[in-house]
Amino acid sequence: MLAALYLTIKGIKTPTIRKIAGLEAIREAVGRATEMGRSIHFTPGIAGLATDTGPQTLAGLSVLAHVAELAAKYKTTLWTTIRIPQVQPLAAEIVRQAYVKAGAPDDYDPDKIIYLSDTQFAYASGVVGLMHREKVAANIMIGGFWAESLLFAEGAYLVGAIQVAGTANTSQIPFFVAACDYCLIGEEILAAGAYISKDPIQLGAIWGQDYGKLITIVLVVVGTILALVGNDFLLKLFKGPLWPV
Amino acid sequence: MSAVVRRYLPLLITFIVGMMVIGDYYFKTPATASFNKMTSDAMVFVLVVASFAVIVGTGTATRIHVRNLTKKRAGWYNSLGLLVALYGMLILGLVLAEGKFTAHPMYAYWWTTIYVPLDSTIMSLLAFYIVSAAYRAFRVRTREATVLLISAVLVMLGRAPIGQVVWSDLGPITSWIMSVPNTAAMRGIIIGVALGTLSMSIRVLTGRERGYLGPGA
Repeated sequence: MLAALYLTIKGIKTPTIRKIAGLEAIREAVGRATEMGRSIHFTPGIAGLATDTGPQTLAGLSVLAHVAELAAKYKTTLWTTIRIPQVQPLAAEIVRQAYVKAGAPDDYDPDKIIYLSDTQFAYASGVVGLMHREKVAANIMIGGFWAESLLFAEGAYLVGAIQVAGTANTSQIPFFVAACDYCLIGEEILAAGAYISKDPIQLGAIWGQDYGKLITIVLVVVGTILALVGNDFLLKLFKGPLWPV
Repeated sequence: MSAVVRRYLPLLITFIVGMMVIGDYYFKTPATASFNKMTSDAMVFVLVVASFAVIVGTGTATRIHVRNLTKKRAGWYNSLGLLVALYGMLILGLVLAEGKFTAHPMYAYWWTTIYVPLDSTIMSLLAFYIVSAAYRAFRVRTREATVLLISAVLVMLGRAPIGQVVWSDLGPITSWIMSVPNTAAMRGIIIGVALGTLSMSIRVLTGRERGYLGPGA
């Protein structure tokens, strides 16, 4: 992965990335909301930043920057709902910067980035209530989601919103696939920032992931063979720490 | 604070703390004991920052709902309900019960008779939403939807007691669907997510991924 990054930074290789339908659909969703004169709802999920699901929230925030820029450009109202308190100032700053970048700083409304509750279902009821009151035309959900995923997806479906959703939580992917118009599956959300920015160096890291997958396949095969002959070298190597006290 | 400091300071802090946590995970020797102690102390800051963020979040929510009230926006009475509940519970639990929250009988009463049933009600809505989402997903429009419908019907029948009565082979078929194609697909996604998380972490640590800092960062 680091080698792929190095080759990209040095300009030796310029990787391309396949089209991700869900991310392409965001422009369509914002355009639809603009045409209908209704608002957009965005949520970066309910994962905390200091957890192993934190990268999903960061990926959601990267997409928020893109959505906010489009919303500012088309002068469409964007509601951002937040569950994790630490994410609120980050989201507010991202949306503010997007409005400044789009040349519409006066249109930025901090009241549209709402911290609802850090309790899962209180947050869910707040989101569904907002969707119904505002009759949102587009619902974009990128980040870590758990049991509330289907509440959001069905809540938005009931108000006729076009939906783009993505999560890396495998237990929730089937709900999004079943209920949403476009779905980003697993690692696709983690590539969203690179995909949107088109930054060659970030794309290089995505390219490196493919080699990571190849190495993983080799390790799975070698690890299986070693385990079968009773050797736990690989298991110890990846479990850490390398030198236990 | 200059724009350069505002842009690069968070990246620098992210890199240093990230490397500390990685180092702490892999190196636990008597020689690194003080480094391990320093890292675990640094992790306490996560709790401190999170606690302050709760205050910031509550302050933001209060500002928005007070503005809803004073400007008599649509649904202002909901904002009034939220403020009464939020600060009522806070005064009861933090001030009157001296931070012991449920020790106050009124707090415990509100918690068990209002909050808990409301929470359960919202979660129970899932049962109805699963049915409506499944109905839409299982409509036979494409080849993939047909495969989804057939496998779903087999699994649902195989998991229900009546399925075993109708056809005794449904149990093994269900087990095979869940443990072979389903597990294979899920593991593929999990490995992809793990690599994606690793790749993103490298990008964040090296300051290449800046989308979360805003557009143009």
